[in-house]
Amino acid sequence: MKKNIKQHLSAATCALLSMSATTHAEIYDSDSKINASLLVYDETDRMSIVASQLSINKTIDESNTVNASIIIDSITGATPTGEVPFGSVQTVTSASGNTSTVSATSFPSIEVEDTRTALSGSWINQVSRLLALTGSANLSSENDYKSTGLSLSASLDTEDKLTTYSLAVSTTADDISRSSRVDNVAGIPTGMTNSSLLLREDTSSESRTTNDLVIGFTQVLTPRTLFQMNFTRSQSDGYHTDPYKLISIVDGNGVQVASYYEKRPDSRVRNSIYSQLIHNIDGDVLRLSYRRYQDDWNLTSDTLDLKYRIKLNKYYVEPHIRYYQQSAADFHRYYLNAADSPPDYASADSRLAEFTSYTLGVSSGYDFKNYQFSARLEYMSQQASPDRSNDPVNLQAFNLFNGVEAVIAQVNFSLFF
Amino acid sequence: MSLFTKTPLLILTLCVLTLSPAIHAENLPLYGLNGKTMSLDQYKGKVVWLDFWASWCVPCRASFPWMNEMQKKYESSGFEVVAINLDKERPEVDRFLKHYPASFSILLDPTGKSALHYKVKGMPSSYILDKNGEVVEHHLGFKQDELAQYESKIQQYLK
Amino acid sequence: MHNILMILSLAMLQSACTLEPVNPWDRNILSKPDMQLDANAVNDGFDDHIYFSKEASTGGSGIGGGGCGCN
Repeated sequence: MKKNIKQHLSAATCALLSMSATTHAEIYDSDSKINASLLVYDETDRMSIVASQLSINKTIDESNTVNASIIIDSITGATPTGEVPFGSVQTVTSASGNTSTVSATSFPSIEVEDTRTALSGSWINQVSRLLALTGSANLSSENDYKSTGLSLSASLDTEDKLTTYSLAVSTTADDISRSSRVDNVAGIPTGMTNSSLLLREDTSSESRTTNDLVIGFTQVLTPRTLFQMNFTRSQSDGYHTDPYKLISIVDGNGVQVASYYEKRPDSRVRNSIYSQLIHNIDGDVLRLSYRRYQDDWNLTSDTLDLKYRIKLNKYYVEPHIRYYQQSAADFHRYYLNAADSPPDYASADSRLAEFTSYTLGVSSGYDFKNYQFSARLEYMSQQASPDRSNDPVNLQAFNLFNGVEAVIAQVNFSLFF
Repeated sequence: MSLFTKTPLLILTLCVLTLSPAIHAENLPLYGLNGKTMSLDQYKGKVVWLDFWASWCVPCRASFPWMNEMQKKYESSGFEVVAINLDKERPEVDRFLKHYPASFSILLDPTGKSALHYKVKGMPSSYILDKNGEVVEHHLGFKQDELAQYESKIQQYLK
Repeated sequence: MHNILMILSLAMLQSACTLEPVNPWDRNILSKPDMQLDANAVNDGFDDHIYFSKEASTGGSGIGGGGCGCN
């Protein structure tokens, strides 16, 4: 879980880093909070995730705050292999013994069933009036993926507290394996080889290390406006391939003759610039953010996010719109031609393709005594129109971009104490 | 990357230097909780702990019980705690005082002119005024481990 | 290197920059829970995880930790 630790990037309004909860009406005596959330993520005809979260924010004393959280995701459904539609009706038997019929135009998929547990904790220490330090740790574990991360950050205010500079570093170690649920043979497949050969690497798991650096600042622009900017650089080395994903090898007619295990490079360098504006208009709050991203897989993206919180007496209603656009990774292919020799790297994963995504959502919240309740509903859709001019005639009939379309529903309950 | 050049230029064009606030005369617009016009002159002859606070200031909550204690302890020695509130919305002040009652004087200054006069640099800020109303000490913030220090300063000026 | 200098000079310029005077006692609106950078920490955390799993881009708004074997 790539969890944002924003506390150390917030501008302090008083001598102490103020907790958002404590300045709220009727929550005066509290400096701590417990939160429980339930999220349902449902992709049309694909994967579903039910996530439950429990977290606590506790003020220890005037200089120390701790946060801890646990999230459990229950994942079920199907995930695409990355192969192109077969073009004819197929009967597929999964490793669990279930048979299903795949239509001619469906994207081949495999069943998924997994539980992911993630733990995270952080400690914020106000060292002096202007300086705060935060240390945090993250752990996550699922059947075929384990991740451990540590991060350290510092934030320094200017004397007038109108500007805060921040610096954060983090390191994450991931351990990737592949269960035998798909083809009854466990182990990491040898990339860019024919999947029917069931070739495996010597190791049962692969690793990847990621190091991030974030330099940022926040600036008070008016008594009602805050501006934030972050520059992030991330370097990851190790195994980046998805061990379950395949890429189709098609003949001149567009019929799949083989499927190969995908293969991605063993390093990735990413850079991003993020900026956010928070502006209060008569009690309502506007949040507008923009992120520009690029990496050395030749992927670039733009993300624009807009939220407008309409504040009513004890309620709020907040519409949300997000626009996202990415270009393709330079080794992304929808399929490979049998006539060509396989490249060093190739992936048909739609997440590396060129696409545009829109999210529309609305959220609403209610405060009562020292409780807060909120709910939200969002709809996300990825769309692409790849260049089909070079595709074999038979493939022209199918959609090649297998984008995600999902509904997100979430409820939150917070107790201040 | 062109974004790196466009962004700072955009921010530069939006930037205006903060104007220095003017220093005002001693006729500060202060009111009591009952709406009555007040003045710091009425505390002359006493040593005053002048505290600038607001309902949204987190350390101010911890300072109120301590200020109550100081008021009780030294009031008979010619000491007064005077807390000037800088909230812009009156309901917030009342809500705060319901949770953190004060046995000392609360004065209201939503305009912030008194804070400008005393050159308040952060919240909370406290000043010790001697018997002639002159500032002899000033302190930024409120920290538990400095309480003994604050109290010894009060005692020093009460002599 | 040019980029790093750009970032540093941009950051230094910020210390003089407000569009209106903001005194220490003018922070009432900025201190409201709705105005905090981490006001929606839980929702943002979930969103970051969803978008990180379904898109190629990551991060931006904070420091990260923990990954996922999202298929």
